Amino acid sequence: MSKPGRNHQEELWNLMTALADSVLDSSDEEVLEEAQLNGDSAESTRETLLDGVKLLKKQRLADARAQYEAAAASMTAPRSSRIPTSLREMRDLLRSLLEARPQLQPALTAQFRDFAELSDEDVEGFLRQLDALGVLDEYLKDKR
Amino acid sequence: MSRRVPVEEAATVVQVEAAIAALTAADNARIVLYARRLVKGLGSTSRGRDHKDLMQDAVVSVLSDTRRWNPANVDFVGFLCGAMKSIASNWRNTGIRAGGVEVLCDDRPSDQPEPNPLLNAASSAADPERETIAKDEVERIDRLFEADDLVRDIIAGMGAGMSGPDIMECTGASEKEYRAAVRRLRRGVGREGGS
Repeated sequence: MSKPGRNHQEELWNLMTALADSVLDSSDEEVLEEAQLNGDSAESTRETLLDGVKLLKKQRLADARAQYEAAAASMTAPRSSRIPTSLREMRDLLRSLLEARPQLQPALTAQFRDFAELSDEDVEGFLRQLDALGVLDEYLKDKR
Repeated sequence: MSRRVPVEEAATVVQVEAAIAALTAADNARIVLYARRLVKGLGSTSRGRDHKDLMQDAVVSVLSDTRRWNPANVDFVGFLCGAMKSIASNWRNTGIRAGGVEVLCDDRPSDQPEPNPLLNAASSAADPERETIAKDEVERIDRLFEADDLVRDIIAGMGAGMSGPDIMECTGASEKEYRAAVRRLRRGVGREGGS
């Protein structure tokens, strides 16, 4: 007979976590026998774990693809009015933006090189990415 | 105090694959038994997820930024089991908070503090359907050992959150007797519950 006020969900969780922990310091013979009782083989367990690695690889691939597509989209999108047309103005804008937002510097050097060595295409590409992310708009509003 | 493993010391995919390949048959048995017991403990808050889902989520978390494994310092089996317990606990808290609403995943980072357990206990007790399912399961396990007083005491003690030494002290069982009884309990739960 169950006493009123008992929390059986809590009891079940406590019981099963204690039993799970007890597995860790049981002998090899014991755990092998218990796994066999459940029909679990070492091969099927290993396969399940490796499926987890495959799952992660798929996730990383999907993330990389999404980043690539976002970058490609930002390159092919029409140039916004926030990005100047002359190369000199583009460089000036990027330089002043990086001075005002030094936290962006690692993102730039991770993708490209030192500022002085950036090609004209790199400057425009980075500005386009910052524009797509809304960083450029925010910076220009702050500057006003 | 725990220290977050720096990225440069965290295991790579290749290292985790190698660690999985190097697991012994007994290591694999421990991991799968650990996962099965945790999922059983979730009761209806597992929301259809099984021990394989738990094992795979643990591997993913070991390789993600939420929980980094330092292969030079920490044993893989222990680390993976710790990851499984944390994930299962998150699933449980999410299931309890969600009540009757279907929730497919807990997006809270695994290293974020868990909500106040007192709030969880209060809200879990308030769901009569989940409570009935858990009650049936606890009583079913208890009935399996009607003739085994020590195992029944251990069920009660573990259910109340008591440690092994505390249960031994209360029951007067020796360590050898306690371990043998826990083994009977594990085997009974595994055999009868199909998990």
